[in-house]
Amino acid sequence: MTQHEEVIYLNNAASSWPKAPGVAEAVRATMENPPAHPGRTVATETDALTRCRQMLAAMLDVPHPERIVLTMHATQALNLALFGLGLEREALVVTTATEHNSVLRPLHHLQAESGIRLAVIGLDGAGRVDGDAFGAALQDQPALVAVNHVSNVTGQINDVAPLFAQAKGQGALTLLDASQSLGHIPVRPRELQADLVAFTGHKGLCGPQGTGGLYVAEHLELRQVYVGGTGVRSDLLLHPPDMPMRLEAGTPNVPAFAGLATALEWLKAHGGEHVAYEIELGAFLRSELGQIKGVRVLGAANDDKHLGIVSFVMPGWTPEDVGHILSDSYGILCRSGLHCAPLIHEALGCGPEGSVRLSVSGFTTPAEAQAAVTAVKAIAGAA
Amino acid sequence: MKIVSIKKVEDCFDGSTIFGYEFDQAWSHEAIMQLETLGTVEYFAQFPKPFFRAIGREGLIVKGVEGEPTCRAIYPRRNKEATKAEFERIFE
Repeated sequence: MTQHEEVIYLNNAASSWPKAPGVAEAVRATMENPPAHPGRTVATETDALTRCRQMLAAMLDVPHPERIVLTMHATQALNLALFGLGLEREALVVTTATEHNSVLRPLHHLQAESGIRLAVIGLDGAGRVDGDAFGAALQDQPALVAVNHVSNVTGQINDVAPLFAQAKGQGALTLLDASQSLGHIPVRPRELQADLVAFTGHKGLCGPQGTGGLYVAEHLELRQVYVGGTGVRSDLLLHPPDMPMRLEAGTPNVPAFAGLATALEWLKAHGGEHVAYEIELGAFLRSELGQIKGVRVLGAANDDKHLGIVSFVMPGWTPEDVGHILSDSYGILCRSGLHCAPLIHEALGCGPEGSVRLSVSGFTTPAEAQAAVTAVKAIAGAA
Repeated sequence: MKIVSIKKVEDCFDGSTIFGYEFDQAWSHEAIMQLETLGTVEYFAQFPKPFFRAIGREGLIVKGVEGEPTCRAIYPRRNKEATKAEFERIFE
């Protein structure tokens, strides 16, 4: 028995595990062969980066793969977008309290350093974006509206299409943080009216860490916020302006993208049933945990607007205590704290200690989910 | 029990006052109850590996499970060094 067979992994919202079949082998195979340099000496139509771009374009239902910039993670993608827009002093950005720090922190830096104005829309008691406050903020002609697709705390799906439709009606650009949604639910920028979509490769896409990307709509050109070697057009002293290399510089993590390409191929064949099962398991957890005396599950009641992420608090224990007991006593790996999303915890009345988060994947078994429910019940009963 | 390693633990917060300890042997019930010299010890026997939480007089919190050679100590910002030294002295 290997060490990991002794644990129950319920931290998929942080990074999914196990990865899709074949991912580890693809990474290894790439590292065991002489390095290829996509876009450089031995690039081909079938290199890992090109395959990723093509499959991601198909997944996002966008016609031009070159509009997908490959990044190290969603955080880099969000930084490219937010700093690349060249927002002017006094420009208004509307965002929400459900956001992750990978959106909130760049925006607060822009507020402090570039003088943008920031409107953070609050939530209703169930953790949904306050539609009235959102509509009111749009009256002030925002330059940008940035909203996450799925909360990494409640697992709740934000209904972004109507929010972005309103935002576009006011002339704003729209940025979607799809870190917790891509690979789980359809993310189609053109349907959602998203000009920019940031995503990661190591969560719902079941690929390696160190992968992510940014979709940039055809009508938009971002400023280059980092520049350098591209392996082509080396005679130019300025970084090439063409997409996607416009926003990519330096040697990419080719082994990781080879793994991501394999994961995307697997998802194409199996993603539907994988995700449907995961959502069902998440609903089971939310329902069972919600029935435990003293446990408060964060967010709206069970409905079809959630993915497999459930966060909760319970009296008598700090979230850190519960996480400690789950991991060290029961062998259940989860996450406790603020999950890099402080404002939603504040809005839901569980700051500053945060919550305990259990997050399943399509590889989690029903027995593992049941074991978590049994453990939480025992912890709640012991308070 | 002897301390093998001490590491700062990163969490969502400042983290500067949280330390993870590794020992040369697992926590026994007797070792856990020795922590009463620091303050109050809560012992939860109902879990597969009993959980303990010691609350020290100066605001120190020590958490761990019986049968594992690790624990986590959260020190108060005030008197952090003195409280840390007091806890570590138990294992000298």
